[in-house]
Amino acid sequence: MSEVQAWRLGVGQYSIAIGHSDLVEVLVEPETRPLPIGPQGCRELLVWRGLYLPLGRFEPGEEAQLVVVIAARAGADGRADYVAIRVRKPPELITVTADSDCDPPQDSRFPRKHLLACFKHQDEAIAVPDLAALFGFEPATR
Amino acid sequence: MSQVARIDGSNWVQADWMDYSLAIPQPQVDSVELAVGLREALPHDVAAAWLDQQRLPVPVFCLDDRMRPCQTRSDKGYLLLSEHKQQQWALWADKITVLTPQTLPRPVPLPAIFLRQKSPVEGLAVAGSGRLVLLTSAARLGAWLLAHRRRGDAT
Repeated sequence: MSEVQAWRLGVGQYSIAIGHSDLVEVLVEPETRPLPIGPQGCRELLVWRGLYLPLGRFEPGEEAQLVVVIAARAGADGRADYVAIRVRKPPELITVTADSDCDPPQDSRFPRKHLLACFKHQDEAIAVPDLAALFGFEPATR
Repeated sequence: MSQVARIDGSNWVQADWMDYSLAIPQPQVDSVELAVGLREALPHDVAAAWLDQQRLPVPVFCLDDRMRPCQTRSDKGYLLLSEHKQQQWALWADKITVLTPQTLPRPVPLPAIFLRQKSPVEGLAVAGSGRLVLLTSAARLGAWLLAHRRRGDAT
């Protein structure tokens, strides 16, 4: 049976997952800047390696001290486009089997068009969001 | 996709409110004044106050922590005055600084998620202190503020 590894991220009262190779760095209380513009859930920038990355918060009001930097997609010039999100606990490496896919829960925080997949893990339906789309990157041209 | 604004070598005017700053090219600013003698706005008005001048009264706009027009303002402030389609407007600021070519902030890419269709913000820059500065133009900011007033959607 085929299986892949993924990172489970606790972003609030629920978890999301990203691909194993997409997690770039985990930061504790990093340098951030408030930004008054942007949709609800993204009104901060993370200062990271000389870049200013959009910093998302999926759970409103959540006190999340950890920030993960994620390669949301490969950029047109071959370099990755990075985003960052706040998480409540350190990422957990999990194994996802091919037969664990499931429908997203009715109360999913993400519209279907922004979901890449959803799978069951320890009785929790875990969404794999399309972070590139959520953070406004244009679809990659292949 | 992100956008890097261009900052030319002329002076800019930086207006600070709360923890935020925005900057406009100085040639687009008519004047900067101490905010005195303002007339209170009605509760339902998008403008926070009015400045009575020789011509028509000028709406004075304050911004909140989500960069929306609001009526709350501090006791002391400054006004940045400009004009859009022959209609004067004023922006309330806690502090106003003229940025010279020697003190201009450094433009950095504004991530795509912040490039919103109805936002007047065109770019982002970082001051020497690390403070973020939102870049706009008087035309865009004025059109955006006055459109709020026409719609009447104050917070």
